Amino acid sequence: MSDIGDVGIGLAEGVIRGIDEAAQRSERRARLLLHAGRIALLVVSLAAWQYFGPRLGQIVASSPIDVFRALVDLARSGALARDLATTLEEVLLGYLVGAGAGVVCGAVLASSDLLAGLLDPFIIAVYGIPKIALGPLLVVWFGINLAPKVALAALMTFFLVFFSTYQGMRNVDPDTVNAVRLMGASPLQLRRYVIFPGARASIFLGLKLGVPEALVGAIVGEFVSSSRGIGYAIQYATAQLDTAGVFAGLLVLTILSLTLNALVNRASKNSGASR
Amino acid sequence: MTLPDVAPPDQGYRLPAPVLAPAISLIGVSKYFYKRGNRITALSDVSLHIARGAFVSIVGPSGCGKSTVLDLIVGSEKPSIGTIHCDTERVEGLRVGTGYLTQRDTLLPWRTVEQNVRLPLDIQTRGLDRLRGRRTDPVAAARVAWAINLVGLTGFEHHLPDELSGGMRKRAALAQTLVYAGETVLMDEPFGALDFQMRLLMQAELLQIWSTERRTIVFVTHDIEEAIVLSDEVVIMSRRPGRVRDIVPIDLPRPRDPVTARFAPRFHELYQRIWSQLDPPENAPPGAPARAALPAGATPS
Repeated sequence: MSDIGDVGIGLAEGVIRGIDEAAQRSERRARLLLHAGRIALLVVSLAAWQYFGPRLGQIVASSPIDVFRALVDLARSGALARDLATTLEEVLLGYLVGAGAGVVCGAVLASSDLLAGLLDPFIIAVYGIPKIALGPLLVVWFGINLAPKVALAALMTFFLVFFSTYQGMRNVDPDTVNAVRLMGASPLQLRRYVIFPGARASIFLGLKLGVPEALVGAIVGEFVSSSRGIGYAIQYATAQLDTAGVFAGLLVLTILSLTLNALVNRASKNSGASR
Repeated sequence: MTLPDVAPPDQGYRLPAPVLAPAISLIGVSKYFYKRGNRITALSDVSLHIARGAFVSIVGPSGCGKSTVLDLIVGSEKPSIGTIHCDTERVEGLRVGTGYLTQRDTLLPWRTVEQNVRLPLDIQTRGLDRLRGRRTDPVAAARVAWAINLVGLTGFEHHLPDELSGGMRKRAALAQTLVYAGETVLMDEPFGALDFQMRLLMQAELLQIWSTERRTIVFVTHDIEEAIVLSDEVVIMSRRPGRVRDIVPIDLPRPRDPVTARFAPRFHELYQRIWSQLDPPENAPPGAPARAALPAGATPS
């Protein structure tokens, strides 16, 4: 925090430092206030839920304390670990398969005008189907175990990643592509030096948005038919009119989603920094 | 320098006597584009010969096909009629190694200045040479440093393009072009996006580099002053369909300073000669004079 220009005005060094510090202080205070506000909002919401929940009826709204108890019970019985592991496996497998296939297919299609033109209407048509409507069909095709959930999660992820990869590679500036071709770049080098780096932001956006999609796919897959998993636990609790159990499941899903998101964020940052 | 002597189309073409094979020849070139089934004639019967090592500018109203001429020379577009030769070879597809500097620079935003300037060398290093470690290749490193020094960017090697001003980005793009370009460098309004002062500076720098390098430069611009102070010849193109209206040899002495060259009486004569032949742009308001009026002060006293 030093600026030669200010010295010319004739202000004492100490005065300027004082101004700098005041600016920093007010910035820090604004940040602190924001955090405090968020925590207050959370506390007030939980308190309101605790107060009004039981008055609305235990089955309708439950209460934070009951949800916490349900969560502890689930953890003690070992059901939580089992369900979490199951859902995590479905999500991760589905995500990897879907994202991998999405990047590959997007890259292939973006590289071939012929293929892109040929397949365009079909892709749009398939994209228009709500993927979760395929859940029952996937059970018929893949049985009732892990496979249909992985397939649904993969399908959900695939389209997002596929489109973001395709668009990202297509939107790379054609002038830049031409300029690099003039330097003598082969098609492979064009991809390596220009098209993939240029599309990276778009591809990573797709990968990021694909995480919650994979989660949706796995949970809906479990709703359709399953004997374990967080989705199963939620459905089971609903059938038992155990609203606290439902919320406990939702809470676990929220944490799972946040964790996966943080992981992808870190991966995208790392790849951006290392170029 | 003034080889071309283009006969009217109905008399056929007379090639100039081959004193020295021109670096670039366009012979009877027409270029059509098709838009929803309609033919649009971008260039009509253009013949042009550009001598090796010459600095030739092409001026004309916007949409007259100036840029199309460059695209044809570089081979990214094919002529509908006619032939193009570049370094005695017929142009039949993209001519790798032709320098091409455009108004929008094409630096890769994730590469530093040094990495951008080095890009053409990275691309040209293939197979085993690559495994041997191009990062330590002293010849490449020297070439990159030379180009960066030539355009005055020493000290900014490790900046990203986004951290540079417009003029500096232009310099970096120029350095990149100098690293890979062979004999011919094409420029399409390269300084169009720069402010006036920066443009003068870049013109001076370009002349300086050209006078030591002596590559053939074809320079497209709509700025007549820029064309005069830089060039050996100015090609005036008519508005669409683009034809060569006149080729004006610029006999201002060299070496030139692009600022003071503008004060020479001869500059004003040349300016007037070019201006008087320049068509108004296509979207000129109705009722505007057929020929653009001469701006005040452009006439020699």
